[in-house]
Amino acid sequence: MSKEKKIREPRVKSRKKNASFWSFVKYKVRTSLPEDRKMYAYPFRTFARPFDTFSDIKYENKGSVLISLIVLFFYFLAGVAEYLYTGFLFNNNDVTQFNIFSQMFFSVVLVLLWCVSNWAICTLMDGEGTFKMIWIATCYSLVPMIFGKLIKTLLSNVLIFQEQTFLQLFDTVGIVFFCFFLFVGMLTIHQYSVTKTVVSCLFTVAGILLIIFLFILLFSIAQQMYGFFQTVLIEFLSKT
Amino acid sequence: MYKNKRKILALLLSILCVFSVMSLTVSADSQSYAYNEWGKSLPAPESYVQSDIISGMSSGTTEFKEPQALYRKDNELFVVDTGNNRIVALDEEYKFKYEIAQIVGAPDGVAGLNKPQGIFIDDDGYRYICDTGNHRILKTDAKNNCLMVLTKPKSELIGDSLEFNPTKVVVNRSGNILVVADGIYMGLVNYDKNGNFQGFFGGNRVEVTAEVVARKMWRRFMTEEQKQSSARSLPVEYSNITIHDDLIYAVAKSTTTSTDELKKLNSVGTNVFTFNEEGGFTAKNDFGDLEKVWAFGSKTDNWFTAADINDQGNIALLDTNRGHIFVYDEDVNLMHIFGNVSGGDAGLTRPVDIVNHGESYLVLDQSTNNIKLFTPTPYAEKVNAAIKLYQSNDYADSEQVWRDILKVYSNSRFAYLGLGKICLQKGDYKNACEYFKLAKNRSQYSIAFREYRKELISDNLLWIVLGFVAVIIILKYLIHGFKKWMGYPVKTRKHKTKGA
Repeated sequence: MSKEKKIREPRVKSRKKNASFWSFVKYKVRTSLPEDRKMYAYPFRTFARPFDTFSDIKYENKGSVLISLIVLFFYFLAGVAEYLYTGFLFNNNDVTQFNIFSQMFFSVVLVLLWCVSNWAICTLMDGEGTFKMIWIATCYSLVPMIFGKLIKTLLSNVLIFQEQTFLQLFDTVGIVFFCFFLFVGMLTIHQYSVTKTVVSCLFTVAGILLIIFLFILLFSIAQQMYGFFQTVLIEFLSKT
Repeated sequence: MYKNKRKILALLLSILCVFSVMSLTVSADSQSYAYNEWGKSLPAPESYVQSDIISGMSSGTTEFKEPQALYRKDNELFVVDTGNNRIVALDEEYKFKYEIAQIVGAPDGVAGLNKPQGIFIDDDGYRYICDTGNHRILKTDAKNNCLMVLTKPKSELIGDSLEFNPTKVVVNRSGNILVVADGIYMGLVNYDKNGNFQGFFGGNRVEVTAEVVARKMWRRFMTEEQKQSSARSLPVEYSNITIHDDLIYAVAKSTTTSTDELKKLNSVGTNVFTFNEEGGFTAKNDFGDLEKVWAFGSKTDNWFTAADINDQGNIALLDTNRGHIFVYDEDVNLMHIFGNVSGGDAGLTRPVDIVNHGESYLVLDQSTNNIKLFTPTPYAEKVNAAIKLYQSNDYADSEQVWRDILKVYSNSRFAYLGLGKICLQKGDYKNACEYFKLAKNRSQYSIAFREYRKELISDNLLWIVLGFVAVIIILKYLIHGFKKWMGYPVKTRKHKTKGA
């Protein structure tokens, strides 16, 4: 521990000297590195002791935002790999029509929506979790999905149609583990009972739908506003 | 200077070469296209080109006037010349042979045809004429003697106010007469051999859209009076029928729906089209254009007015909206798309009917009152020949033909599929896999890949096992190192002995 502190000090100084954007980012990353290296194992520790892991995250501050972002980034990469490198037999996506933004939506934005919605709902439902904790717990429980997707992508290149049950198996196992970890995470973070966790999760899903609906509404209204101002402007210009 | 000149000359020559090759394959102004695996249109070589126009004058009679149907039986081509109240028979060279305008001995006393819209001739040579203007269907012999008259069927489903306007008729092998009539959405009107009404045959379904669902929801809360005055969701009517091999091919009259665009009806009226879902380039229950166009809040799809099935079993579908003809093979794989909308005689303006004649297709254009003859290009001839060989499982002979097709059109999935099957038969599984991949045929690829995988495993068993072991060892060391770096107590033999 003492070694690390010694290393960090000069870096802080260098940040002050030339305070550019990148040095700020570097500084931010360095300061948000987990103090305890054991924390890197926490995304995987869920497999062995799910309840302990999440309560450690909650009470002993063992979760790290940086690690959660790394996990989320790998989840995004696994999604991209699944889209692009699933074997020809099982790839139902047009590889030439790959869109990184839709991939981003299905990983990053969906996780963000879940966290925002869950935070909003659970604040009303006397949940103890902060937004940071919800974010960390959600991201950590994505690990089985990453493994499921990667194994599925690898296997799909060597299997034939008759063996596609194996692919479905890995997919399903990944999703089941993910759901279980998310459930345990929410239960521990908010200190809920089982039924209350289920109810809050259902409300969270409804909240996600509501947020998406509001965004669509916002976009369509903005579009109409734009159209309105455009016509007004055209009218104005042609009259004068 | 001299050197530069030579360089420029070489450049010009190479450009010329490129362009001459291009003109051989795809002509610059051709709008031919084909669909890829994902239903996206891509440019393709021209398959059929308009080579001749047959008008009333050129065949040796007066001009046609709003002709409605074409029919070919053996060597006679019939043009249903609706506007002139007659049916014209042309011979093989498309020259005038005779015309049918008067019927002898009709029981209702009306001799002349009035705006006829359809004709059918059965295997015994009896003619069935849809005399639309007189609201009847006539059965006559070859000398125009009336044998039977079919009129409006008596059914509770048809209101008294509805005029019976039969437009198309076919007769199947057992003698049942099936009629398409305007305003009858229950299906085809089915008469038996003796002209007795039997009921309706092969009705269409309502496509479930959001609008239909919403309408059904609202109807729940309506009173009986409101229900009667509100719009109902009705299935689409048929616009045309044709018969091949005792199966009836019925075309739906619709631009906004995609279901039941073309149906292949067996003798009890059920659709027997089988769609190979894994094949990739078959019509997945959606014929014609796959890219949907939304205009004015509703979906605009093709409007098919006619279908034709040739001796090979190829199905040609005529789209009157966009003036395209879609040709499918027996297994509903899209083979060719040709024709274009343009004014006058240069293209199809309002095509209404299509029949095949040997390799070529005759398309009747209602607005220009003539028939346009489409003949296959060398490319299309090759594709047709190759598919014929392919369907007769004569793979070996077709290899050269497939390779020739690929020279012209390197995206031809038919060619890759054919070559893949040849490789599969030879036992060359590696190449078979590659060809099936290019053909986007997943089920065939699976078969080839299974064998290829067997070969690979037996040839490289040692390396695979070694690779596995290596991966496991590397993973173990990585995890070990990771744990050590994090500061977890790592169990090693040294530790154990020391601890003990």
